[in-house]
Amino acid sequence: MKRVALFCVMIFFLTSPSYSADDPMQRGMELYKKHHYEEAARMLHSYLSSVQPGKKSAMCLSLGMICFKNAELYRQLYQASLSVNLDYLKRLSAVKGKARSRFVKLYMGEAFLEAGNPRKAASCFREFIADKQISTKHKAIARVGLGLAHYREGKKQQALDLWSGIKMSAPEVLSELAAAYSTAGLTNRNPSVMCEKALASVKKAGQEPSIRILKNVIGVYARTGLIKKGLDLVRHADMKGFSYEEVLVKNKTIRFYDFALLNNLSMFYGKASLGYLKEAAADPKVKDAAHYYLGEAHALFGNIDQSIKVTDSFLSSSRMPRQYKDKATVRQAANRYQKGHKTEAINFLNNLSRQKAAPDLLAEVLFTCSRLHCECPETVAKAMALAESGEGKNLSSVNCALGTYYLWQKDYGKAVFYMEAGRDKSNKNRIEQNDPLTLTNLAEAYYRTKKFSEALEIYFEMSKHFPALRQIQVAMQGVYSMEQKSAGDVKVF
Amino acid sequence: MKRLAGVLFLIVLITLVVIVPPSEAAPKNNGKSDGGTLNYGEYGRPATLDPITSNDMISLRITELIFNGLVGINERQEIVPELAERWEISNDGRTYTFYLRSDVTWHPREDEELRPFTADDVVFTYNIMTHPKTITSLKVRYEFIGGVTKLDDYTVECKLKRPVLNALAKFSFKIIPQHGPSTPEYLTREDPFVHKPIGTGPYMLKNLTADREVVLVANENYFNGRPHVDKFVAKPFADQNIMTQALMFNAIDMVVLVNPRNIPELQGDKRFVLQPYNALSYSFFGYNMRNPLLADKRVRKAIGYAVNRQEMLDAFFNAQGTIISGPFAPGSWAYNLDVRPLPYDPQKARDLLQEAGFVQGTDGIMEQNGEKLSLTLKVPIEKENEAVKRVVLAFKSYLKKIGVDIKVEFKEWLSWKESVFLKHDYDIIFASWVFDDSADISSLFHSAEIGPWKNNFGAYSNPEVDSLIVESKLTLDHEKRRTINRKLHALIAEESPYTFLWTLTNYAAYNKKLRHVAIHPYKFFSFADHWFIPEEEQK
Repeated sequence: MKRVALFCVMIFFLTSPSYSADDPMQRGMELYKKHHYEEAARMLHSYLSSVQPGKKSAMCLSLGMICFKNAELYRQLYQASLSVNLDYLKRLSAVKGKARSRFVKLYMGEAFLEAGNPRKAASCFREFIADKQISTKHKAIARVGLGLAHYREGKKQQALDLWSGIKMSAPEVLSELAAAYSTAGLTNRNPSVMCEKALASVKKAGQEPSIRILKNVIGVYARTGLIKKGLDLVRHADMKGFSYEEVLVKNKTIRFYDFALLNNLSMFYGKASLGYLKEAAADPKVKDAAHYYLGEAHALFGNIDQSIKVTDSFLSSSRMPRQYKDKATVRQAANRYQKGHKTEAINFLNNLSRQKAAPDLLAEVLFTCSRLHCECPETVAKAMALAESGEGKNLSSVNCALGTYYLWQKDYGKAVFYMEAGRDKSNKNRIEQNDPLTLTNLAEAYYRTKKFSEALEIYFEMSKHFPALRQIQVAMQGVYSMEQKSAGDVKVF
Repeated sequence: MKRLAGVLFLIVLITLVVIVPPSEAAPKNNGKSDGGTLNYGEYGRPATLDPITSNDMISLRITELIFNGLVGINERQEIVPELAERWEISNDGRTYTFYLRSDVTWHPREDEELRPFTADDVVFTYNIMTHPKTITSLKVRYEFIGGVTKLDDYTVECKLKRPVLNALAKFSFKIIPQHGPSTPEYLTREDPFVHKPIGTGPYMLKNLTADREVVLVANENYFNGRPHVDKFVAKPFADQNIMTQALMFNAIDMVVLVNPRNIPELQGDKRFVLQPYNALSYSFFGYNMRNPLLADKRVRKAIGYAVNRQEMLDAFFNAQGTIISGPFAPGSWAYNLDVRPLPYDPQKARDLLQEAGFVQGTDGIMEQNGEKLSLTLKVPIEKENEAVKRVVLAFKSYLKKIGVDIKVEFKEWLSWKESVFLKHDYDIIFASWVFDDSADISSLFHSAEIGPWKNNFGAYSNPEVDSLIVESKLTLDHEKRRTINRKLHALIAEESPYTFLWTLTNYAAYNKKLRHVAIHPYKFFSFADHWFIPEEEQK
């Protein structure tokens, strides 16, 4: 990871006039190396309009890389959140009686919708709407969700009919509908204008936008490419906020969160990264480096044809270092795999692992196979032999990649073993010394093995820089409190 | 009649939720070598070696090797049989019937025949644990049990006063033998049994050496099969750095808790494994509210604002930990994420002292009605390692800046415990709590837990806290319990009976010759009977 950053820094120095230690670019890259992506993006973005023309493309490249890494991380956090929150909500919904939650159905509906299960989502929304004690505003929010469930089930007219009957006076409802239109691709309904109205209405009332409004607006901005507006919004927002607090009986309150927030942040930063990288690619001096990251970003967001195109362009350049070309070659194989040439791609990756046993390359192949959900026993055997050969930072990438591979295979014991071997033990949970993607994977493996406190400690540290992951922490605490079995012991030390 | 019988049969079936887990009585014929000695480094000598009177981690680790509970909790958070081979729980959650193993024997004392473990021992343990003369923190934890009755030699029935959350797991308390203690009704720290206990566990106490080492040997008759490693020796070290050096020079094979500053050194050494385990623990400065000066919340909060905890953590522990805000560890389900740790703000500290009526004396020390704000800080000598010394000195220096005089006293571990838990002769202590998964703080802050050898050593008393603690214990609703704990966290953080400091990174380090090592994050040695040393690597 640090080598990638150094690669970028090197490009800046080769291609741009001069950088002093307190230069924003330099500071931005320092933050990037520490994985403080949000801070780095905010800082560099604020300088972008005033940067000298000669430095702009390098700054765009830098911003593109940072936003891409942030998008990738939020994608991972979103998946972790969805899985933990579904576990938590299922347990909550099993509680019956006077102190049962009414709102659990709304949030289960939203979670099922996010998890790609519109049928179950619709059922939850219907149940919620049928509850006579639910407020009009929340019923309207549930109707928007129900409409989206219909839309995803192919019942488009039913969705449109449902949506057209919703009163949009409450800014949360207005933004919810805007997000639904945007998700459904109904741009003629002007979702971004609806968002502006929602924000203006909140501002007029002298309030801050709720996390639900933020989630919706960020999603709409991501789809419409309103990056500057989005960054301004994110900069001032409290991302750890809960969506709804349900007070049930004395001393029993439950907080619910908006799961789509993390996905929308991922989309938003992804879109931002594509914008910045495309701008950088227009400058011949940084074009090749920009194509390297553009290839990654397109692949992450499923635009495989574009990824193939720009990665080809990167590979044809004679100036780029070998190790990046190797990584780009792995990505091209992954792209071919996704285009249906599976056997060819796997053979290629196997050959690559056979020929070159460089730790970073083996790690790249393993990460790629995990992402594609394809088995690669030959590479695994080679990586394991390499990992066994010793410890040290140079093998960290291999260990982390093996751990990620086993996490995909649901062999959580091995996943923990290898990721622990790759973790910087002197700085166990620090994102400055450990890739937050690996920490998120490790937290997932610990969660699956019911070592909740290990996972919670990881998220506790990460949340200092990524407050939006509060939703994972709260849900995981909930599952932990229900699962823990102990004697209630405490000792002095 | 037949119909009635059928209905009765059905009722019986419905009433009893029968859990019959498989028994694991077979000897360990798993191809792993028996033999070898495991010398492990401890940071002190245990005060007592029994599971009832002990209240420190060193003792807990040893009692885990010597004793068993009716049930155990495995690595996957599942309840598994130990001394009970199966159990039944009534539908109302108030009656627990345990069917005991009949193949368990107590560790033999010298020239004694093997004695069987029976239901009498379970009844005896419960009675002795709840006896008014027995000084133990277990009493508060097990007040929910109304009574334990022997049904036959190998069956006991436990009646609960009310259903409680995770009740079955609470029956993991360790059972002691009826023929163990010298007094049949209660157990004190003077009873020879607490220094020379016998149990049913995988290891038996052999002796305590002149060097204060605790030597344990394999129990050949262990009901789960003889443990692999022949001998466990707990070696006390006064200094964690020296303990790490002992590991590096092969004088010991394992360190139960590595000093964070030594992690980089061990991380690069291929001879050792560094294994993380997340004990829910934190360090704190605790106040004695019997001192009227410290009974004033403003004084306690002033001390909290005066210390730069992040600076101490970064400088003395290589930043290998997390600053906390309240009475739970950040890895706990009960931690209130909304409560922020007190910031470093010496000016605010001075303001609070002034508000409390203190004025600066000619020597720079704050005074109130002529009484100087001069306090004694007691620290156990086993904690006299480099990092702790620096913390203590930094604390003294921070407080000097706001006009508080601190006198530091290092005391030997047992003497420190006596000063703090028995005599309450201190103003401030520096210590740490370690919790199991329950995050139960009732014994720390409930006013009923004020008294000799009780955990509320600072005599903290707040009716609102008491009421929340009781409500948390009574509820069967997980979310309610969470809400209450969040409130408790915020309330106790505001009240500052402690200045909450940090939770540190926990790593055990061991020589690679030791295999199949799984560590329980709290009890540590729960799975130690499966550890082994290959024959060729046994010394």
